[in-house]
Amino acid sequence: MSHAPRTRAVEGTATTAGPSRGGPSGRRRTEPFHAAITGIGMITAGGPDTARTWEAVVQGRPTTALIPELAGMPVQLACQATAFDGDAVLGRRAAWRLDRCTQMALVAGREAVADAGLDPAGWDGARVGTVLGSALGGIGTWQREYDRLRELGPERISPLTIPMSLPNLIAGQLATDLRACGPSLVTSTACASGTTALGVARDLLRHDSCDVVITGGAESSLVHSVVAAFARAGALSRNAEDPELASRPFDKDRDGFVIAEAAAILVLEHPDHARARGAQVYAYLSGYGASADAGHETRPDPEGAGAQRAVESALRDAELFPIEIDHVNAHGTSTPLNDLAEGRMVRRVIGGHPLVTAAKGVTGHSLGAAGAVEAALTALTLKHQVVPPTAGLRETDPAVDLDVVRGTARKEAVEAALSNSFGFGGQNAALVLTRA
Amino acid sequence: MTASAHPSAEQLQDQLRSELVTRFGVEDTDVTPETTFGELGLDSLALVELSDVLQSVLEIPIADDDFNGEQKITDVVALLRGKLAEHAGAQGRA
Repeated sequence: MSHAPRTRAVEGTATTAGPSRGGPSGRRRTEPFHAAITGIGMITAGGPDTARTWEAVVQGRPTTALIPELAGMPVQLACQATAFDGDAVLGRRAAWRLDRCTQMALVAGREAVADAGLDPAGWDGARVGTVLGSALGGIGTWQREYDRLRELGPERISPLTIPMSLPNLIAGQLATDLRACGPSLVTSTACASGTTALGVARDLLRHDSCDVVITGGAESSLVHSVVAAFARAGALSRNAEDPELASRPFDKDRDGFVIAEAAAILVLEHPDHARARGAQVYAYLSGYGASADAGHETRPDPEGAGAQRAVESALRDAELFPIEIDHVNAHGTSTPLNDLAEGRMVRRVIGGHPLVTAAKGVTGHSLGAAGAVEAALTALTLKHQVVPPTAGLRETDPAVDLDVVRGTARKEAVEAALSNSFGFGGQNAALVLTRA
Repeated sequence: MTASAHPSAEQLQDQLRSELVTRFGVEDTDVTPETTFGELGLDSLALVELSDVLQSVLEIPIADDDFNGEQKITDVVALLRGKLAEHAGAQGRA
């Protein structure tokens, strides 16, 4: 097999049938499963498609701006996908009854499917799943209609409020748009939602429930209630004087995250299916791990103990040693607490050798979509062998003892990479991607 | 256009067409007197939205069940004209 991924046996794991005493759970291990990433579609503040987003990220071009929609809010900084116009791309007839996050999911989904060389008109839709992550779903619609109810009364609320707001409708609408009739669901683990979605999508392929899963995440929640609440929680950067330095992951002067909107959709395919049709493969999704801090609702464990369990689980799933991870696409939110805890955890669990980057310096933090955006960027790093810089990073926090890429992108050999996401609620998810 | 302007049937049809095109993405040329809402692809949820839009624009009360998918544009125009006249009369009495 010309593009079979490398596999490495991990000492103490059994790959044959029968009980094993090697693992803590006593369950037998199986061969690592390498789901093929064969298509990518993205809409971010960096650009309304994959090529322009990748270019912005490789150039380390910040996208944070003061946006007029947030006038009057304590924080008005956001990374808005200003180049995306749902009406123009989808047509008013389709767009008027979809929340903006769903519009973005549909457009990114179409890009991903076309990029994979697949045609929904010809595929066996029953074997195609849709699994997307979103933290807040169509909250923009919800807020607008609630305002309308308060202003004009209950007779004037839109009858589409529920279908436009329900988070699961993002995947439901994508399934309809693509004639994908397999399992369809939305995962919600706050800022880890997109990463969780990819892990669940891979499980559907691994268990032969699907040949193809259209997966990723979508979020568009640049609305007053969300921004004001995050601001009151002290989570957002207030660096309005210098928006280009507002999102600055791992920087010693970081002061919070910048909220963003985005959608990233990946075509994840069973390796046999991808091979049989001769599909291009960006990278393989070779490991997934998840865990719960079971601690505080917003504050991460200071040492990243919960995050560590997710990362270790993903490594075991991929049957890779920490030393084999060449690159870490960090959660790196630019909040004081996350970046310190994550930095310590990566140093302890993986080591100081990988090149680390945090895309949120460019894209901002798109909550439930972020993990999907970063998985897509990690796949592009593996394909192009380029690690983008961390925008906004001037001086790495001395407490973070890692090789965080800053300034310009680095051309390096990357065989295996880790992409982390950690959500409010202490829900952690990690992916291991390997080179095709 | 307001309730007191007594729009002609033609004006009302243009108004309706304009709302269908700009808000619901219906093709301008598809809106003819004999077209039904169903043929224009407006389902029950869209018709509730439309009733809300026209209520604001024409400043007349329109119930959620005043519209259905079988209605032709010409029927709807007649219905709206009747409501406008009725509403103007009620306003006059008040």
